[in-house]
Amino acid sequence: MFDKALIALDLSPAESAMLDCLATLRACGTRELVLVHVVQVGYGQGAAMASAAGFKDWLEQHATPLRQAGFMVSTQVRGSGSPADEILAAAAETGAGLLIAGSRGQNLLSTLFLGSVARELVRRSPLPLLLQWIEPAASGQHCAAVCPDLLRNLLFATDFSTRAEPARQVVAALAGKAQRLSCVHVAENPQDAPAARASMDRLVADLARHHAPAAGTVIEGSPAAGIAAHALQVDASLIVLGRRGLNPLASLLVGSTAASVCEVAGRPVLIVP
Amino acid sequence: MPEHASNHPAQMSSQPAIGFFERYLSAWVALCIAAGIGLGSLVPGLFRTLASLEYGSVNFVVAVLIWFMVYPMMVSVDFSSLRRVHERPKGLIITVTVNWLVKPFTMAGLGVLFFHHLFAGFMDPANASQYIAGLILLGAAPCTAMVFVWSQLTRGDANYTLVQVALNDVIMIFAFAPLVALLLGVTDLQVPWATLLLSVGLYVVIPLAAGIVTRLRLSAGQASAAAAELAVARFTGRIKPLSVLGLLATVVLLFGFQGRVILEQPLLIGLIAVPLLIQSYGIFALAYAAARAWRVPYNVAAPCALIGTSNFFELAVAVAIGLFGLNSGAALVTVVGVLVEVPVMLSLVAFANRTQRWFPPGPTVAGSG
Repeated sequence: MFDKALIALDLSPAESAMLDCLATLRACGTRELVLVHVVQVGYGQGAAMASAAGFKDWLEQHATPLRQAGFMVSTQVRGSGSPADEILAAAAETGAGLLIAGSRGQNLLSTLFLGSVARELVRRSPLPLLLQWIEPAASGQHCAAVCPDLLRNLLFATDFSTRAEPARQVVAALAGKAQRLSCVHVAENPQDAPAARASMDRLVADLARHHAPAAGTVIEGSPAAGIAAHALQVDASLIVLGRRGLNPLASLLVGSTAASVCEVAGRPVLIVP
Repeated sequence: MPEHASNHPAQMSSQPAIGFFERYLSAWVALCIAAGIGLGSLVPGLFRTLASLEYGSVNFVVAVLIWFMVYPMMVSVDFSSLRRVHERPKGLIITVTVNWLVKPFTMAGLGVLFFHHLFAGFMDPANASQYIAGLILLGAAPCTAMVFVWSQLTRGDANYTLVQVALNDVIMIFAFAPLVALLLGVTDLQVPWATLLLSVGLYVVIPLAAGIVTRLRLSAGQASAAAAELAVARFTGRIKPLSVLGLLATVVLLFGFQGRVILEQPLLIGLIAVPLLIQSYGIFALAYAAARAWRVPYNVAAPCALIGTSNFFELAVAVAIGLFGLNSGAALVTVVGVLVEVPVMLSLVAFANRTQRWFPPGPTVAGSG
């Protein structure tokens, strides 16, 4: 399903930890990895392009253990005024079926007005996007990726809309390899809860027909906080969800549920557009 | 290393992207011009108060805003790259010649031709001299902030671009003031040397020194040169909003004073833009033709001509304000320079990309491995 994955890296020390986690992708069927770093080129920026050879060396150093782990690995350093556009272009050029990016706290100004590359990818990626949560350490200098066996405990968060259907198909495909599978729906309006429970029963029954027995739960509250709380409660190793249909302005200002879930839950999230 | 033999490890997409802020820089500047004119009419007292915050010829608000603009770009330039100045001599020779021996003089010549002769009927002689002074300041300051954008959009050699910028910045410390003083002699404006040197000290030497110190501190303890460059790039990325704020707030401030002039003579900006456009396209043609004649590889020829063409408008704005004041014609001209820069440069980038077959091929891209 995800034969080739493209990993977008900003080469921070935190990402060394994230790369250590990539071996867990083999469980998802991934065989080939493309490690990409994009140098931001803009007003007063871009001189770092002259150090592209050094960045390429960094990528190659981290590619070596991945090759030893059995992956085919290629590396790229690219320059652009829009890193998200460049990452999506690289994914299209290389034929990647999965994008992977690290997600960690941004400062308030960046989050509100500039947006991190990860948030931009969440909003725009036409490919499934795996956000690897990177835990900032107290010193701020060293981080550790939350690096569970991705398919140990799969959590599918759904709003039962047509937008969630591609995510359901991915869950159905991965479910056979997962040790445990659960599904959750968060009803923002308590009046919707009974209908949601009926939909959840149908979803669980459908997954069971695909040899993917799952536990279904409907809770009430705000989607991001509810999904994150449930993920903590069931100790989910990976949250799978569709990209919620916010209009571009709302998405820009408040971020999508998917991005919020990743930040609140502090664990990997697979967003399926 | 021969000019055609360097390997660039960066992978290029088929259509390099320009950032949102940079692509629409002209629009942001136009909006800030409108905001400045509006605010200048609504709250003129605020602008008078801001203008009064000065000592000698230095306005504190303007000084801070200019530092916001210039300091980040000085941090990003690695002056140790000058050790590689011998590696691509043709591109450097062309750009240095164009930037320092041709462009300032053609800019002054076009200013005199248009403002003292062709457009003389549209402006009084005193203002015309101010406009010429503004053009001279633009022509004497080679681009720093946007060079990597133009280089990237033409898939230029980033190492050449970095060396060229570092070299231009060092030359600027010594050559900018004498050039400006010499060329302002063609106008009727008296420029005190002390004020000119103070402007160079404040807006070039101090930010450059602060940039070098910051760079050294950021690089200290890093495991490799690449790690040090990453630390610098992250720092400049974090303070980029300050540069943007400095640029746009300076435009608002300037047009808070210039609003009356613009409202009375709305075509003035168009008149000022004419010699600027001729200069930009003419200088590009000269540098590009020289690079072609000398068989410079495309990935050096394109940034070489584009760096020769574009201006360090932040410095020009700062010195114009320092020498002639916020409400001067010279300051107005420098902002028009900002307004036309991006559309002109994007048209030249498109031309360069369409004509790269005119040049020997650059190094093979080796991004995938």
